[in-house]
Formats: sequence, structure tokens, C-alpha cells
Amino acid sequence: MNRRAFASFVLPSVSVMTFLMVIPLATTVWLSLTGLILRDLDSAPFVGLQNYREVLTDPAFWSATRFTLVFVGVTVPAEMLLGMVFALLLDRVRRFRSIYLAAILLPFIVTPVVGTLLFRNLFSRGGLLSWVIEVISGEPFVVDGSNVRFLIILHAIWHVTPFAFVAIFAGLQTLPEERLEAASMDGARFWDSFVHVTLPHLKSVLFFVAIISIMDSYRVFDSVFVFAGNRFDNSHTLSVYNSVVALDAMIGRLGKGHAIAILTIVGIFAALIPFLVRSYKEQVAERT
Amino acid sequence: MKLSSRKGRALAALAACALIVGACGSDDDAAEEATEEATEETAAPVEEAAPEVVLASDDCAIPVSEEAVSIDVMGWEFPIVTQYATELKECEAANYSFNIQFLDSKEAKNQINLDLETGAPSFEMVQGSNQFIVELANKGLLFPLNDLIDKYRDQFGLDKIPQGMWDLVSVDGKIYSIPMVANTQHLFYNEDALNKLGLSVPKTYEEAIAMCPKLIEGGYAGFQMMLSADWAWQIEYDNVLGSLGVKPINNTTGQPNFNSAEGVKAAQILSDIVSKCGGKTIGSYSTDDVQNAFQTGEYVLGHLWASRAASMDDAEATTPEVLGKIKFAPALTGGSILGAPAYVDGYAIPANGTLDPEKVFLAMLGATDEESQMAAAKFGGVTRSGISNPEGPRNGEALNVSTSQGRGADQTHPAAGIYRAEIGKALIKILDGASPAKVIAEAEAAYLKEAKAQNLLS
Repeated sequence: MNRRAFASFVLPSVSVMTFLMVIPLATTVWLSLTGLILRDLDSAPFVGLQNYREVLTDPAFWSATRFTLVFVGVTVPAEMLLGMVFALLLDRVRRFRSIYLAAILLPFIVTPVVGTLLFRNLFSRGGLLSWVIEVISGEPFVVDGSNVRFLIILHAIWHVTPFAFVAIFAGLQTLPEERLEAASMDGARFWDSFVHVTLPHLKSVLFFVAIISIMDSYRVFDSVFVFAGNRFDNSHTLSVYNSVVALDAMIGRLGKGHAIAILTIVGIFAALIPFLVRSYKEQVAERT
Repeated sequence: MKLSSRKGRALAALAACALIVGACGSDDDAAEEATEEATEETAAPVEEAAPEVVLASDDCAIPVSEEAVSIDVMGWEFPIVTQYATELKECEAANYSFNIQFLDSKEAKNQINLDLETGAPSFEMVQGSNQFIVELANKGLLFPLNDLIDKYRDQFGLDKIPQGMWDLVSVDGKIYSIPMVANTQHLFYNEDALNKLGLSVPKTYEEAIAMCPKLIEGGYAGFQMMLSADWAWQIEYDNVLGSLGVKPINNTTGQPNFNSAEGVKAAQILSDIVSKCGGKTIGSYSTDDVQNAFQTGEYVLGHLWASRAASMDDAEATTPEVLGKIKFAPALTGGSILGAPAYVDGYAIPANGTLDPEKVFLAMLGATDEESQMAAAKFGGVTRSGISNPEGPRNGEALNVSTSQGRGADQTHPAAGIYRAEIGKALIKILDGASPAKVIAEAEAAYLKEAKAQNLLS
């Protein structure tokens, strides 16, 4: 392929990527080095690394980082585990399969904000689940600083498990029946078949689900914002912390907000690079 | 001589207006002088008389616009504001159309701020309290209305709105809104329940807190107020602190006064209300929830917005056992001043909008004229002298006393908004057991850091 043909293929995508990603990213880096504030968008004085220093010495940033890591660390494995369990169960069901499928997918179909509001209402004063807890414990149940993190994580698992489920279930449908029958004839029990036949077959699907789930969990915003808002700052994730810092009506520190965004990007790359390197190596190995 | 209930209410409403005017005077003499000077400057007689035009209707007596006018409005909702939105809609007869959006107050403020900060606002009209309007005006985000007010002063009887109310929505003599709602907070109580328990109406925060064990033993909730949002904590804190005779910040220099013995005492009083009266659930009641709790008999004693008093006589929303039983008394005090704010709400026009401000202003006039305020008076306090509604709320006296002897309006210093944001964020942590002294110290540190960073302290 000559240079001209190569350029004609590559240029459109490079242009689009430059316009949509490189320029915004470069702008973000630049703004993170300025003292831009919401109440005065006309001036953006250069402040060097001051915003980064402020962020890295802000206890709220580390609180948000810790909760984000806990959120990712708990929700991703839980979603994948539950998704796998539901997929394996539904794979064995023959009657009314589509009804079960629809029921399991329902939390994922609901708009995230609406789903969060519904979930929150279940635990609000007068909500069904808060009433159940009150009946069991004899104490009125309210969402407070001590339980809001747990509820946010519970909601995330409820909301995103269907995604893991549907991907794994689709993967299971491509598993040849003969392999399972052969394993069975060789005396393999369910667990042996699962570990030695099913799991290896689903490896690439699980990798895909893990990557997407980690990214989604890491940048979670809407459900945490709706659930916690400004009331529970101990349950802020990095995205919510960023919005609180950058977009508060009176104290909107946009420069600092951009610094948080850059640090968040660095964080997600640090988390994903091992996965991506491993995936790349495996692909290279498969080709050779 | 006993006045009929309707006449009594009308007189009470009149007295309320007069007293609010007195209470609404700015606490800052310099600002007052500046306002007077600027008013003198802008009060020059208008040479050009308004042209003869066809008015849209009796309900919205503004000229019919030749071209269609579309106005996006953003604000937050409570009963009397809903009525004003209805009045605004009546101006559709003048070839206007309105897209009125209500969010909860915090979100509405954020949306308005973000929209106006862009310098090319998409909202043509915003609704808010004097506190919020002054915050926006301090940032140069609102269009000053002095010239338009002068032009339409006589035609729309704007002189019937007392100067004290105009002052509340003015910065350096520039007026940024037409005041349409007069509001404060005062005591609501269920007379039957208190009588049953042998309790008298409290006058101080300490008395109210001391009554809580007996109320709870009697099967009722203790003394209550809305404490589920950071902005509500800020207002209640300012009420208590104001009742102790302290302004949170110096209105000239912006230096904080709230991390003091009185400031910590005010936070301690709120903390006591949470721990001794409110219980675990106090942080889960919105203003609507508190109103509903009174209407259903769950709450029998608490502080609430005067604009919610009319709802207590809403037969559809109030249980028969409670209907007519909720009485009103002046706000509580921590010293000699009542813990009650002076608020007005109104519409304002964003600066740099693409629509002719006069068109938007006319819609504001149409929705807040005498006829509109008469209808709105059914739901709460209005701002024109001599306006009342025989079906209006029964809280006239409580409203009058609370406003005239209350802490007055929120502070107007450019850093006051930062104070409000930081104190609210800090105080709400009391719900999760934080110590009052600690949160006050935290709030002061955060306030000083942010106000200094924005060069707002002197």
C-alpha cells in the first residue's frame, strides 16, 4: 500500500480522534494548570501544579479514591459472579426462558437515574425495604452516613449484574454441547466441567466483561450522585468529587476539577494497563 | 369587638406587609446609602410615556407581542410559586409561550448558575429568593431592572411594593427582581396535642428542646424542623445564630464571626434538636415531608416556612383530625431576637440573554400584578401593600412578629454565598454524629480558604 492510499484510510479516523480526544485532553491538561473558577470564566491564570498539590493533599480526594477502589473491588467481582450464576442457571432452563431472561435484564434496561431513584425509595422512610428492616429490627431505618456506601454498592450490583449475565449467557450459547457431553462421559462432574470446559471457553467473554465493568465502576457518577448527592460526602466517588469541586454554584473550581480529571485518567490507565498488556500478549501469541 | 375571620386575615396580611417592610431593611448602612444614592440616580422622570397598546387580557394585562416570544423559566417550587407560574402561563394570551421548569432548590440553583456562567444563558427568566438573586447579581449574571421599573412603575403600580422589599433584591442600587413572595419561618403547633400533654407553646429553643421527651413519651415526634439538606442547615443555623445576636460574617470585610462561642452554641442547639427531638429520621424529611407530617398529625411542634401555612387548611391534604388544629406562633429565639429570616422571592432576567429584556420584564409584570398577587395571597405572603385574599392562611400574626423581630435578611457580601455553601456542608455532618465545635471550625477553615482564593476578603 502506498503512502497516499495509507493516508486516505488513516486520516479520517486520525482527524476524528484528534478532534474528539486529543484536543479535549490537551485542553484538560492545560486547564488543570490554571486557576479557572466558575464565577470568572474570562480569566484563567497559570498556577502551575498548584491544583495537583491541592488535590493530592485534600482528604476528600483520598476518601473518594478509597471509596472508588472499594466500589470497583466489590462490585466487579460480585457482578461477574452473580452474572455467571444466573447465566448457568438459565442455561439449564428450557421453559419460559425468555420470561426469566427479561426479568433478569430488567434492572439494566431501566434508565440509571430512574433505577437509582426506585432503589433509593425502597430504603427511604416509608419505603418497602426500610419498613421490612424496621419490622425485623424494631428500629426505624434511614439512609445515613453509616449505611449509604453499602446501599450504593448494593444498587450497583443490582443494576449491572444483568450486563455480566447477558454477556456470559451469550458466551454459553456458543459452547458446543458435544464438549460437555464428552466431559460427562469421561466422568466429569458439574464442577469439573465448569472449571475445565466452560470457564476456558468463556475466558475472552469474561475478560471483556471485566474490562468494561472496571471502567464503568471506576467512572460511576449518576447513581452515586442521585443516592448520596451533597448529603454524604463520605460516599463520593472520584467522579462525584470532581463534579462537587468543579461545579458547585459558589465555589466552582474548574481548574482543580480538571486536575482531578487528569488524575482520574491516570488512575484508570494504571488499573487497566496490566489487563491490556496481557491481552495484547495473548493475541500476539495466538497469531504466532 | 371581634372581627370576622376574613376581615381579620385581610388586616393581618396588611400588617404583615408593613412589618416585613420594616424588617427587610438592610443591616448594612453603607449598602443602604449606596442603594439610596443609586435610586436617586435612576429615579429620574421618564420622558417617554408607554405607547397605547392592546392588552392581552384582564388576567395578564400586558401588550400583545407582535412576534411570538418563547421564555424558558427555571426555579424551585412551593405552593405560592406554583400559583405565580399559573399567572405566568396566563400571559400566553399575549403571544408568549413559557417552558417552566422546577427542580429542588439546590439543583435549580446549580442549573441556573451553570447556565448563566456560560455568558450565553438559555434561560430567559429565573426564579429565586433574594439570597440567590443577590448572589447572582454579585457575580454580574443578572440584568438590572431599574430603567424598566421606572418605565412601567405607574402603569403596573410598582410603588405598592415597599422599598424595603426592593432593597432585598438590590445590589449597589441596581434592582434585579420584582419581589412577589414575602416569606419567613415560624412555629407551627398542633394545639390539641400540646393541650393533651399539658404543654404550653415554647418561646425559646431551649424550651422546645426540653419539651421533646414529653412529646415523644406522648407518642408524637419531638420538636422538628427541616434538616435533610445542607442549605436547610445553613438557614436554620443562621436563624439560631441570628437569634443570639450574631451575623455569620462581617458584611463589610467578609471576615467570619461564626467560629465563636455563639456560633458553637447555635450549632449545639441544632445538634440537640437532632439528638433529643428529631431522632434518626429527622435527616430524611424534606420541606414537603415536614408539611405533610403536620397535615397528618405525625408532627405536632416545629419550625416551618410561613409559605406552608395555607396548606394546613387544605382539606384534601390534611387529615380531618388535624384540619384547623394547626396553630401558628412566632419563631423561637435563643436570646432577644427571633430565629426567623426575612425572605422575598421573585423572577429575574439573566444578563446577556438573546431575548429583548423588556419582553421578559413585561411577562414578569403580567404574572406579578395586583390581580396575580391577589390570587397568590391565597397561598402565602405577597409583596404589594393592600393585597389580601379572604381564603389566605391564618398565620398573619406569627408571620408579622417573626419578620419584624427576626434576624432579618441574609447577608449580601460577595463572600456570603461561599459561607452559606461551606457552613451547610459542614453542619449536615452533625446528622452523622460530628461534634458541633469541630464542624464549625472546619467550616471556618474552608470558608477562609475559598474566600481568600477568590479575593473576596478585606
